[in-house]
Amino acid sequence: MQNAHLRLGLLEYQRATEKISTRIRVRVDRYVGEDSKGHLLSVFGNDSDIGAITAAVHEKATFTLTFPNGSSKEVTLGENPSCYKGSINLADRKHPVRHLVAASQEFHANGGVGSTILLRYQREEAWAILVSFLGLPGEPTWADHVLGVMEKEERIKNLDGIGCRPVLLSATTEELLDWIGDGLRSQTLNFPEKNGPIPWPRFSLEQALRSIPASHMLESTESLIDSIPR
Amino acid sequence: MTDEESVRFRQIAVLGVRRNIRGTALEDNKRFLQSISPYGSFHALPELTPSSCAPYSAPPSGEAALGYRGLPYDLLEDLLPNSGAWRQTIPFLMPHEDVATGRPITPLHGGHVGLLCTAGLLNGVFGDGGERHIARWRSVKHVTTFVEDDGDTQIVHYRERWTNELRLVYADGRTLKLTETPAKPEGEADAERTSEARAA
Repeated sequence: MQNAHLRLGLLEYQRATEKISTRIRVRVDRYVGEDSKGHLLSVFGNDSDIGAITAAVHEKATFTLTFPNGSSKEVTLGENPSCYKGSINLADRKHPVRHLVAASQEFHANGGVGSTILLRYQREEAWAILVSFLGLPGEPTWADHVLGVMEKEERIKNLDGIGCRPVLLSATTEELLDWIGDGLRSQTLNFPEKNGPIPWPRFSLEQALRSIPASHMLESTESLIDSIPR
Repeated sequence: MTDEESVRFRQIAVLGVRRNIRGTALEDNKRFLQSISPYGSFHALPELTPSSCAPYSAPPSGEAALGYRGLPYDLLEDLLPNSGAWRQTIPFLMPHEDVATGRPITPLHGGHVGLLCTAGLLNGVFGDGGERHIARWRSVKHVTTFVEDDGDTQIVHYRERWTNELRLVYADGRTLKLTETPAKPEGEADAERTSEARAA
């Protein structure tokens, strides 16, 4: 796609000691956060910049994050973040571009304490993630019922995002099983007719990362609430 | 300087021919520039009218070559989803379903079945009649924390262990959770059933 600079954020890290003042700015292609708490951060830059940002993430540093719409916020990934690194080789460049994905401790244990963070909200994919992460006995066609209940009970909250439209699903395993039980009892949900394994559709991360339209990346967080697909 | 864009962005562009100025003229120029440098001071200057000085025609130059030596953002945006860093995040971003299908070469022993079940490879629909259910196994990590006093210091120990958990949902809406701990007496049992108030 063209005009990527309009969709990228900017992460700035400043540190001043007695003798040395450090100021590092890197571009952000994906970010998921809630208020000042960052959950997922994907940045790229040269080797030294990404190395410094990685060290700062592990030191629980606070960063200044500028969103594509110009607003900025102080964010931190908190304690025990996880960092994953990658490299991208470009044909006309001597050195590869370094890529860093940092995840908070909460995001690393996604779904663990009744909170599940998704990069985008689509019922089928969201239901598959809930079933997988929470260990629910479920069936793909139950997505509409369960996610419908969650939408009705306002258990879906939009999060701050760059390059994605993240949401937070708040529901424990017990609550979800209750809703499934309600659905089966009222015959809203159909129990599978045949015994055997349940085939689930496959979802790829690459497809999810590429599928977010450019127009949505520039929308404000508030307007995303109305755009949750039904 | 009174132009709307100039006031908005607090910027002006000055073009001129450089001349060698020395002595008091140079000091006068510096003093004058300092007097108009604070923001808003330029309002005191007389407005520049077209007839105030002779227009200067910019001499023609060769074709300017503009180059961009920064990172190619458009290209990187397309390549980043393939990065190895993203692949490492798949376990906590995307669903993962491992189901073993096919006929085993030899009949499975009880131990084989147990291993496959606890590995989550035999999730699915089982049973007959009123006992038909969907079973799903998963591994759960438990962390036990205990503190040991050693003189003036405290040593915090974290002991991690993995257990298997089985959740069932029956065709009639009953749900059940089976864990390593023994079943509790009736009334306090782990078996979950949708309360009457919640039942549709």
